Amino acid sequence: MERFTTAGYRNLPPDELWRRFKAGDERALGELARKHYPGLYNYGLRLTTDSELVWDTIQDLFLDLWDHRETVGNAVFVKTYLLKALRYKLLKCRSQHAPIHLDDSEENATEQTLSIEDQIIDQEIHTEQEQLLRRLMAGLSKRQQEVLYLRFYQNLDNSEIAQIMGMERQSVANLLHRTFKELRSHWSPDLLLSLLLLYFSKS
Amino acid sequence: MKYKLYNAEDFLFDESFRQWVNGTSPQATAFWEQWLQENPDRADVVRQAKELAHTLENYYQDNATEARIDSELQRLMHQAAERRDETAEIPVIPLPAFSRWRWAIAASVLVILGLGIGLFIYSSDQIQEKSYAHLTQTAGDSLQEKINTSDQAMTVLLCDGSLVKLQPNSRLSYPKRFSATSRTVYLDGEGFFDVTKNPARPFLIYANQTVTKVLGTSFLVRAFEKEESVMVIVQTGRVSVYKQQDYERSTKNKGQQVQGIILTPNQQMTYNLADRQLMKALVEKPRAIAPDNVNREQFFEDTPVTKIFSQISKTYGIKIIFDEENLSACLVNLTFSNESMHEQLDVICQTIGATYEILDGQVVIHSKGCQ
Repeated sequence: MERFTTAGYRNLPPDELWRRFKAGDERALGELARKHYPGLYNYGLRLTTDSELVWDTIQDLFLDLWDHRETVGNAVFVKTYLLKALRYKLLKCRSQHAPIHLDDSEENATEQTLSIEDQIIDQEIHTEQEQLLRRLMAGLSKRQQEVLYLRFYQNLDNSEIAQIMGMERQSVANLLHRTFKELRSHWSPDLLLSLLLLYFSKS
Repeated sequence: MKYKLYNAEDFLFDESFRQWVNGTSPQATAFWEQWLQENPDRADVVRQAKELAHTLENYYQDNATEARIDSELQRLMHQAAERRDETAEIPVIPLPAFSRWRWAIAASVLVILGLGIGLFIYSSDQIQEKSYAHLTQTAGDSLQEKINTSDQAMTVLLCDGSLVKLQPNSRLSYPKRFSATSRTVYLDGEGFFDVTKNPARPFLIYANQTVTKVLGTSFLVRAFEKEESVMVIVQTGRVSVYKQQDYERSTKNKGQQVQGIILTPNQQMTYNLADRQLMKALVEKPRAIAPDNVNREQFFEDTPVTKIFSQISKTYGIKIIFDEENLSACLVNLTFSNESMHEQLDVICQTIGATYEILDGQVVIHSKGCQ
């Protein structure tokens, strides 16, 4: 199989890349996709635990975009468009096939590379915090979890989140506000406690 | 500073703060370490936010590897290429009888990248054999053809990644796969070429008695039947233009110096089919090749005109010839905003009582000097 290289495409200005994509240059598509792949895959995992389904759905997504390349509008909105389309496709799959759940546990989260900071922090406290977060997340509604995720991990603003989830912007703002109120009421005291513990254990 | 009033979750959603937490940006790291030193009272809040951000990042972590993403991208590009080729197949439309066509030539080349280019003009007595129809019919490769019958430019992608902006009433034939030694296409009409760089496989455009050879650059070729001259326009870079008989003589007798002209930015060459003369001139409206220098106000205070001339020369890539010694005493106060090159030269010359003319694609300043 011939290998495509997009090496020369990494430094193309966005509008040039977009122009090439529109003209039917598959390497431009590859380069566009490269930027969005990690974020899309990660988002997909919030919506289903079937990782292979997520990979396949993302392929479909970009091939759809490819088939409509001559009519799709502006590159600026591609990220929002892709996230929204992925959500739609995965949720459609979920309603067709049986149980796919929003994952509220990360049991099979793979080993993480520890930063020096992590290593300094007492391992026990670290896992306690993760456990705490997991408990807190489990207490949130699926919408709250998703809003929090899109705001924090995907770094989207409220109106983009509203578009993706099909909500009013104000509802997103309210939901986010409520989510944080809940999180903070549980998080802060415990966190302070663990920080104090950290101090004591160090001294 | 806004960060002083931030609480933990405000920090959490701050892009630069998260870059610091992730360790993805050295600038962010430097900034936040500095900021923490200056704001020790916020250390607790920052620490909380950092912890929370860390924990969230871990919580959201996935198992995607670079290798997996790369193989997904390969799969995607293959499928995309297949789908495109399935839909892009255009039947070759029979062309009208070419013997009655009067082919006149006009080719202009706009070179955008600074690469050497040879443009060879083949004027043949056997015009028929050089026609688009004949060439595309006798070309060994099976060709695809794009015809732009719309009233808008059409973008055509070639398999080497080169792009052609095909103007209305123009047509382009090209093989689905280029040969190993060259990339040959056939044009009737006008097209703007953006050719990917590949010195091992020169890009050849057959456009009605002319062959334009490039190694990788952007340029415009015009070859409509109404025009009876070849025109080559260079925006940036260099182009060599040869008369066909000169070029062919030199390829036969290897080592013999070939007589031609070299065009630099904003120069144009006209080749008149009737008198077979290569004429060099400046384009009517020179364009800046260093765009940074235009659309910006420029102030000159007690500045030697020689300095301004060399700046204009650099901006437009056009040689300006003047007597250095003669003009060194000429100091001017000027402001340029968006004047054209000719307007700028007019202003300077009026100020110092000089004149200028365009000779052989260059600007020549005539002055008696300043006291």
